[in-house]
Amino acid sequence: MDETIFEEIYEQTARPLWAYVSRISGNPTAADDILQETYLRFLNSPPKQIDLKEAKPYLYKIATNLARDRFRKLKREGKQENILPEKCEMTIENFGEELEMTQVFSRLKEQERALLWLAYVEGYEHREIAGILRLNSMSVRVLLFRARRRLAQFLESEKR
Amino acid sequence: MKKTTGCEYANKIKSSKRDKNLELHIAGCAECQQSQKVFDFMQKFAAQSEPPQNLPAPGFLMFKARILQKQAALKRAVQPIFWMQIAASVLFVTTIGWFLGRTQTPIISILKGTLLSLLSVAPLFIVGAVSAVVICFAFNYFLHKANK
Repeated sequence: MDETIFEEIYEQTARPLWAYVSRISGNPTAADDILQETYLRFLNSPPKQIDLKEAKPYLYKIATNLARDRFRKLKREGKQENILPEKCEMTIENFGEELEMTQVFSRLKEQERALLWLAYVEGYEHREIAGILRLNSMSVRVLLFRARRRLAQFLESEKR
Repeated sequence: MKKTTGCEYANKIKSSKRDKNLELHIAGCAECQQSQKVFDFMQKFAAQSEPPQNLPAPGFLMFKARILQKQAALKRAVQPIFWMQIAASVLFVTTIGWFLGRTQTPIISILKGTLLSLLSVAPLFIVGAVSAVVICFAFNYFLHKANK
């Protein structure tokens, strides 16, 4: 792959991809490893058409699979993820709020976190989310509805 | 049929750009208000998810990918040699066996006898080795569990 094209793709995608992986896995340190592995796999077997439009969902797909594998491995080993926001850029003022938000978000299932992030932060359509998460487009609609409802419930319960 | 996807408009609340109709709808729809809350939460949460400054450089990743590709190519190239070594060993043993079977000299007879006696006790050795492996695994498993 051409170095300049890769650099351009990397500059555009690395930071949002890191944020996505960090939030769905709940572990910023793991996000570093997953991010690196994602780009290595991308370079090893790039998509047919190498442009940003094609590359971004492809990268998200690889990262989701890697995060999923890691999650399953941890589950098998009976380990739990560290949900503390340890590496994100933050000040003392927003630490409490950040921690609270992280805790609320971590109460969701891994798939729900991914669905909500892809829909509300990345702004992907159902069809695109289905491609990234390897789901049926109609299932995405239903699952997103459930995830939204669950998060809203958690937010309500936090308020009280 | 039970409605499992909520209000149609709720899926449209995905960007800050809104038309007047959608704003009016949100004001009167509990489902969309909930969706709006989730959208706001996610936006705020994403704004706080800044990655660290020291993400790997793209040049480093390209370099690492090239090295890994070369290693994989080398592994692929070495694989046939490994299988050829196995095939050669099998062929060698078969030839020796065939040769021993056909030749009748005192030394060969002694060798044959030794081999046959070794073969007769081989099942015992196999059972012993398998038992040792099972015991080791079981010990390791219980040790791992106790450490947990």
